[in-house]
Parts: sequence; C-alpha cells; structure tokens
Amino acid sequence: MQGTEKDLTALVQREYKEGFTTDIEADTLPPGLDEEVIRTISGKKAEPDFLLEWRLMAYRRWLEMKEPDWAQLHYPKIDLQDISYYSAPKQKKLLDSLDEVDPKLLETYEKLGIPLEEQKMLAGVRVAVDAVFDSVSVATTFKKTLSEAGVIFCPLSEAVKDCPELVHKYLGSVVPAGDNYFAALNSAVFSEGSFVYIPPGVRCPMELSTYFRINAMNTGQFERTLIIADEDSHVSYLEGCTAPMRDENQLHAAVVELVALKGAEIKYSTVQNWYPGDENGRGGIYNFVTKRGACKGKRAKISWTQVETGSAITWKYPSVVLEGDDSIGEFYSVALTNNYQQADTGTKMVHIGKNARSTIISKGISAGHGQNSYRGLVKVLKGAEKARNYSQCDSLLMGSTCGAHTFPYVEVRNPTAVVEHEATTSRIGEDQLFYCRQRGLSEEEAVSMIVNGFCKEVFKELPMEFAVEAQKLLGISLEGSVG
Amino acid sequence: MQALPDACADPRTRPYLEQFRDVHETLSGAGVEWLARSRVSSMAHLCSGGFPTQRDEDWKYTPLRSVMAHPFSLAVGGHVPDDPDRYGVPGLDSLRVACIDGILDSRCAPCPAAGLSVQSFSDMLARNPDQLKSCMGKVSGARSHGFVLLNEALHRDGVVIEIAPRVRIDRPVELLMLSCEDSALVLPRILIIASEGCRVEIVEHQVSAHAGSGLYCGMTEMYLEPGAHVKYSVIQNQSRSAYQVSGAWAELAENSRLDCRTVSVGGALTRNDLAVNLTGPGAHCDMLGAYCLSGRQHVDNHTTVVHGAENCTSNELYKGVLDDRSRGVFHGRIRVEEGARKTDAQQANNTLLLSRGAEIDTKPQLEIYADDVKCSHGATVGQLDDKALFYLQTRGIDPAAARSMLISAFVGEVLQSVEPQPLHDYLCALLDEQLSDPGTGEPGP
Repeated sequence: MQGTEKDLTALVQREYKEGFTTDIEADTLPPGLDEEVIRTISGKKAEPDFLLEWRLMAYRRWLEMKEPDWAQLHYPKIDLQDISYYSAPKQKKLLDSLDEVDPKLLETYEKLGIPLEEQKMLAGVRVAVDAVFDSVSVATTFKKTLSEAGVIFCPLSEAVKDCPELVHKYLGSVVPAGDNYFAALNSAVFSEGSFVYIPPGVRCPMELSTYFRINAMNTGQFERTLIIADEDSHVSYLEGCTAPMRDENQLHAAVVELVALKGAEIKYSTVQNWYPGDENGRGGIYNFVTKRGACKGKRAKISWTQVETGSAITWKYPSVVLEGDDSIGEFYSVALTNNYQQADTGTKMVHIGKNARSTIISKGISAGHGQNSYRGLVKVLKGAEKARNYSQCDSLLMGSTCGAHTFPYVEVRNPTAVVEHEATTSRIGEDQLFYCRQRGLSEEEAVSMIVNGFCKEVFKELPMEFAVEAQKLLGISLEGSVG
Repeated sequence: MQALPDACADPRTRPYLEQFRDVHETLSGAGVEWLARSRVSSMAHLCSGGFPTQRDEDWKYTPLRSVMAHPFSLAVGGHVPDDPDRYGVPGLDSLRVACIDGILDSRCAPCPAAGLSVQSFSDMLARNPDQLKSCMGKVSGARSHGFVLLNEALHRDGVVIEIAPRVRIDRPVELLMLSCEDSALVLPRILIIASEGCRVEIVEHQVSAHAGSGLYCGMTEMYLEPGAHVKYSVIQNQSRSAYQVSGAWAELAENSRLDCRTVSVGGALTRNDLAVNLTGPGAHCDMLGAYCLSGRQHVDNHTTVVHGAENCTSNELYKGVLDDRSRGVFHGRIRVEEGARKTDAQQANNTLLLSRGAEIDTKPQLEIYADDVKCSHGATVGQLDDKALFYLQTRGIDPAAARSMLISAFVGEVLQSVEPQPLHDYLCALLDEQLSDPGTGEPGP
C-alpha cells in the first residue's frame, strides 16, 4: 500500500487555483466594531430607518452573547475588533450596465469561471448570477428576463430600496436577529447578499446563483441572503464562493433565510470552496454560517444540498422548520476535510405541522488531519402528527490521523412519529481497491470511483452544472487519499 | 489537608455540606488519611461545582428539580427487615448478599464458593485500607459530576467482590440492594475485581421495601484483568417515588469480556451512567438495556464506551417502551482512540412510543480518531406495526393480547440471552407487570 499512500499525498496536495488576489482599489472601513461602524455601513447603503434600528438591536443583543463552544472545533479565539466590517471596490458612480463595471472585476470572475456577460454564457445553460465582491454586489445578470417573469433577483441593498415592504416583512422572520452569536453579528453588520422573490404560481425560468468572493485583507464577509417563494412557486438557487490564499484566517459569517409559502418549493445548493488553508493548517476561512428555511404553508418544500470542500473551519447547520402540513424538508450534504480542516456541520429538522416529512443524507470524508463532525437534530413536536424522518450519516476515513464524528439528536414527543437514524463509519476497503485494480483501474481511478459512489446520493440532487463542478472539486481535493 | 469551604456556589449543595460536617468523622475509614482527604476534596468540589443543571450538555434532557426539591438525609441504618431474602429473585439459586440502605447486612453468610471473596467496604477499610487505595475512584474519578462527588464524599459502605484467578463461579452472585428507610440518601459502593481468567455472573438487584421516596446514588467500579469474563446485570425496581442517580465504570484488560445488562422498571427518575474503557487488545463488551416506563417515570441511560486498544469489539442495544407521560433519554457515545485499529463497535437505540405525552430524546454518538474501524449506530422511534397487529387479530388473538405480545417481543430481544432461567423469567415478569396496563395506545385526549 506504500505506493498508494504516496499517490494519495500527491493527490491531496493540489493547489487552490482560486487563491489569487485582485489588485483593486477598495473603500475599506478601519478594523473594529461599535455602533458607529454599524451606522456607517447603514449610511453607506442609504438604508431606511427600520433597518438601522434592526441592526442596532441585533448589535445590542450580540454584545450580551457568548461565542458558542459546543462544536467539535478547535481554533484560536477570533478577535472581532481586528476585522474590517466593510470593504467595497471603488466605483465612480452607480452602474447602469455591465460595460461600466471595472474590467478588473469582470476579469476576476472570468478567471473563476463565472462569466458575467450574458452572451458569453453557454447556450442552453442559463444561470442568472449575482456576483458579490467583498461587501458589495458588482453585477447581476439576466435581470430583464427575470423581471419579465415577475421574479425579483437583486442585491439585498437594492431590494431594501425597491421593495422595502417585503424586506421588512421577511428579514429576520426565519433567523431572528438574536438567533445565535454569529447570526446576531451578521444582523448587525451584514453588508450584502442576494434577495429573491418569486411571485405566486411562477416557476423561475432559470437557475439563480450568487457567487461570493472575498478579496480584501483583514476583512470579514457578512452577507445575508433572503429568498421568498410565494404560493405555488418554484426556484432553484446556487451559491458558490472562493477566497485568496492568505496566511491569516478570515471570518465569513453569513445568514441565509428561506421562506416557502403554501405549495412553494425552494432548492438551495451550495458548493463551498473557500480557501481551506495550506497543508500545515495555516490560513483559511473561518466559515460560521446560519442557514434556515421555513416551510410556512401546506405542501411547501425546502431542499438543502451542500458540498463543503473548503474553509479551515466550517460551522454550519442548514435547517428546515416544517410548519405547514404535508411539508417536506431535505438535507443532502457532502463534507470533505483534508489537511487540518475541521468541519462541524449538519442540520435541524423541526416538525411542527402534520404529515411533514424530512430526509437527511450526510456524507463525511476525512483525510489527512481533518476532523469531520455531523451534528443534527430531528425534533417532533407534540402536535406533529405522522411525522416521518429518515436520517443517514456515513463517514469515510482516509488515513490514520483524521477523525469522523457523529452527534445526532432525536427528540420525539408524538407517538405517531416514525424517526430513523443510522450512521456508519468505514474506510475504503483494501478488498474494494483490489477488486477495482484487478479490473484494470489505477489506484487513483479506483479511489475516485469509490468516493464518487459514496457521495452519489448527494450529487444526484445537485443541478447538473454544479454536480460536474462538485465531482471535479472532490476529485482534486482527494487525489491520492487511500486509507 | 484541604479545608472545607464555607460557601456553596450552588445552594442545593449546602444541606449536604452541613451533613458532611456532622458526620464525616464517623464515616467508615475515618482514620485512613488518604480517604479522609479525598472525602474532603470531593465535598469541596461539590460545593464549588454544584450539582448538574439542564444547561450541562450531559443533563440536557433530565430535569433535576424534583430530585433537588428537598434535601435527603443520609440513611442512619437499623431499618433491617426480618427476612431480606423474600425480596430476592424468586427461584434463583444464587449466592445472595444483602445491602440494606447501602450497608452490608452482617447476617449474610460468608460466601461458600471457593475463590470468591465478598467483604464489606467498611471492614476492608478497617483491616486493609491500602488495598483499596489503588483502585477506589481510579476509573470513576475521571468523569465526575455532583452526584458522583456526593457518593465519594459521604459513602458509608458497600461491597467488595474479588474473584481469584482462573476461578469459575458457578452460581450467580446476587447483590440485593434493599432500600428500607423512607426518604433517605443511600450511597452504596460496589467494587468488583475480576482476576485473570475468572468467570462470574453478578446480579445487582435494587428493590425498595417501602413505597416512599429517597435518593440512591450508587457507584460501581469494575476491573477486569486479562481474560476475565464478567456478566453484570442491574435490575432497577425501586419504589415509584424513588430517585436514583447511579454510575458504573469498568476497565477491561486484554481479552476480557463484560456483558452488561440494565433493566429499568421502577423509580420516579433514574439516571444511569455506564462507562466502559476497553484498555487491552481483544477486549469485548456487550451493553444491553431495557426500559419500560409508565406514569411520569423518567429514565436517562448515559453510556460511553472508549476503544483504547486494537481489536476490541463492543455491541450496544437499548430498547424501551414508553407509556403515559413517561420520558426516556438515551445518550450513547462510542469513542475510538487514535491507533485503536480493527475496532468493531455497534450501537442501537429503539423506542416504542405508546401514548401521547410520552417523550424520547436520543443521542447516539460516534467519535472516531482511527481509520481502520467498523462503527455504526442507529436510532429508531416508532409505534407498533399495524400490519402485525392486524395479522395477530386475524388469527383470533384479541387486540390487547396482540399488543402485549408484540411489545414483549420488542423488548424481549434484550433479554434473550439471559441465563439462568429463573432470572430470565423474573425479568420478563417484571416487564410484563409494568406493561400489564399498557393503555390503549389510542391517541389520548
């Protein structure tokens, strides 16, 4: 197996190709956090009073909170006064079209494989993109096509101005300002994010996507996404993210809120590829994210799919509150930790309505010194008749120095509920490898085939273009990892 | 020596501190310096750290309000029933040792089996305290909470069982833990030293002779030397108003084997800590549990198994039936240390909810730091299978009988391998009795 180990190492040590920086002049606030900073951010965005009040309320709540320490994560304390809470690439004036966007920015996105010029997009694969660079949105594509369908897809800061009543009604309705330490911090200082509203009965004509990019040094990224699917509508949303390679750690504390009204369906997919740090565990993004969806009406459906390959630390629990009768919650996850990456991720399914169903499929892969934890909660309240949950958490270990952990919580208060949870931990068997090699596959091909098979249940949930990217990402991150 | 604190960070500990001041000079082994020091230090820790609360992750689902509502005072002893034997497992041909309110009953005959020594803690402390020093609290001290500290500070007596190397004890040893004094604090200690290659079966049988309340905090420590095989069953059948927070800790050397079984039917609130440390290669541990609850009973089974060596295996299965407004809690953690290659660890918790108002909170956990392992856990919550019920009814079995048949079969899996027969029958009878009025299963008001 020695040869294998070597191959594995070679494979694991791939380069992070998104690790470049864009040299662009930025308007950055000095590090530090106090009420004045919040007022400045709010002022820069010319926000209405209700939003500023809300931010300040969140900030005051946050001051009283303690950083959570229950996760299976080890990292030095984050000095939140050492971070700049706002950074925007300098722009002369408001943009009317892409032609006015700084070419350097366009180039950055092109390099990342996210062309912002609509005509450059592949025929047939139409995805509307909101590109967020540090604290601001630089471009949103296909606005016209979308608005014809009645879909609102724009940066949150624009939505605050264009449809304040929707923002006022739904912002913080799923993740309240004081929900947890990082959500409260985000509520106080969030700078950008995407806003989506799908009107009743509309099936969004294309996939929507936000691409987040951290560029500036010593900044944190605090975006906030709000997606509202009105009655009987449907939307599929993709999120991607990358950051430059740096020796210091940068904080990313986002909040995503999904609201699905009666009969609506939201499919939210993430391929998270923040900079994971180098092979010695230096640098990397600290990713502390609160994601939650509420199935508010009957037959609403929310589906989370995530592929987590980046970040030095991932702390993320996309959840679904199943309020409506016959509503459906789904969570599909592949989390990969390599080198010194740590991930503590999972989901919460809260059954409130009758006949609600939830499915959890979580696949954890650990290699190198990676530590991968699944942490989840399935809660069936007293009135949640005939709740049904199925959870499956599998871990794959590659190498003797990594760790895989599973911490599910099941709380059932209704005797008509049927809840099942199962978890397994194993490694790639020598017999499996032997079989593949005997069939003429190389060690690497065999590993990648087995890993892909292991993750298949999750990948098949991803939109097509994303599934390809995710498989590639996993392939590259794991090349050479055989246990 | 460490001084006793004047103040208690947790006011709930104050009454126990006062009791400690009153009695600590009269407790067993008072003249033994290391023990006196350890008692004082445990009390000081209890005062500063306090009893657990629901904010502690390990106690999240177990409210202690009722347990802490009024302080219990240490059992004074002397409430000796005329015939403790009548509380024993009927028909079981056992070597019976009775502990009354945590104090070994001197009337119990010295054990007739060769190679088996059963002594009281206080005797041993009087005669040969240093032998205890090396093992007392060695395993259990590692993960102490308020109730462990309470026992460490104030325990009076208990049983020390030693089995000589390569001896096979044919009859089971029955430890009859009898609670006779109403509303008393009972703090027994059990120490089992299973020498190399021995075989023994021990049944810890907890019964109340009264229907009153009381707080029972027992601590059991087991050391299994290489090749030892211990079967250890705990039957919890105390009064419906009794509280219990007990712990058992075991350390298993190479190729030793521990078969643990916990059957809980009695008590108002019961918390069982069971921690097994597999320290030698090839050790194996079975952890089985059954809980059948009704009324407002609450049982919290908190188990941990640490795989610290290669080639160890563990198998855990807890099954429960919850009726009325009862509540079950299960926490099971498998931890596989780095280097514990070829580990095979399985764990499952299955619960039947029979009525509206019953609640189960289950937390199976895996913490794995080695790669060449096979670990799995599962948890299910559900009801009786309608199809199976229907099938039995088509065969002419009335619905009530069909239900109890299916429930018995469900819990029965845990009791399958129980030997000898009288013990098996007794356990089945206990569960049946508990289930004899299983409610209708229909959603209640």
